[in-house]
Amino acid sequence: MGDAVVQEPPVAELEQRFRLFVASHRERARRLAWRLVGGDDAAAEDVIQDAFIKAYRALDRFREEASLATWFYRIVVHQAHDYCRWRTVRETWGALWQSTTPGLAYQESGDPLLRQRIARALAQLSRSQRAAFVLVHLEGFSVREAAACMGKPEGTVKSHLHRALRTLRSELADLTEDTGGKRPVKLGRSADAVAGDAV
Amino acid sequence: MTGPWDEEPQLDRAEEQLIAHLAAHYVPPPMLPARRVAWEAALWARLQKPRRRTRLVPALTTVGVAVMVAWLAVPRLFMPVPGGGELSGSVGGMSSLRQWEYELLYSRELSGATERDESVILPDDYRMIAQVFLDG
Repeated sequence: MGDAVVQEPPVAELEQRFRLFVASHRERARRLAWRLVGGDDAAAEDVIQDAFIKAYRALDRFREEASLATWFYRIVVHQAHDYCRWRTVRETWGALWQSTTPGLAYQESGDPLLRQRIARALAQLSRSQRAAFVLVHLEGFSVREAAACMGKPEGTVKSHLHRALRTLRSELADLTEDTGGKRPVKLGRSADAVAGDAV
Repeated sequence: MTGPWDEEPQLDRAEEQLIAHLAAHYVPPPMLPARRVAWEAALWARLQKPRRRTRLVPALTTVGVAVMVAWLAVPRLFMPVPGGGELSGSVGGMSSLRQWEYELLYSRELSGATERDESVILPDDYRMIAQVFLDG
């Protein structure tokens, strides 16, 4: 009985496990992508669909250095950055031909004006600052997990967080008046904790 | 001793309030069930499709553009050079001519053909006109 051969899971089983992975990470990934792309529903859905497809096709290249969830959210962050980069290119070229000014897409529900203000303030940050801020402060990732998602050292992420917070405080100073001083809502669990549930 | 919470950034009260406000108000609307079903169907349809080999496209495009630019900028590179290019310097002081240029310029002399010999390739009516104007 010494010939223990590691067998790949059959395709059907792999698909079933991936379905579970999609089901358990879809909402959090969508929320993360939505915040990174500036509040655009359709863009966020496209971004996470592309991210899931990339993750599925690259599963054989996944190494156990990080958790599967952290690895996946890293793909989401990259996809969101790619989307923002192409959107900038499209808007730059589009502005040459059209007189309409490009803008972020907002869902007309809740408080759209406040959402627009927040989106504009976040858009003032660099991509890395925005990613660090969204991952850590809005999505509840630890600094270490955010660093793994962004592919940057923890010290760099902390620096991005500090600068992002300073910018946002100056842009949205009036929002700190009447909120009652609650701790930030930890939306979702740690990526590592969620990873244990699927795949 | 360093606890796991020590790595998290320290926030003052105003920053905590700001972040709480952003986390509460900057959230996407829930995905409608019909939209979620459509999204999942699209996802699995894309996963079932065979993977396109798109990685070569940028490389091939770059090579194609480079060849076109080279062709436009240095057309000499793409001209046929029979016999390996330069003639020896002994051909009547025309050492700077390539073989194909030389043959083009002096094809008549090389083949021994005369000017009048070329007239046989003209149609009859053209030859008659030529005779009228050239031979008087």
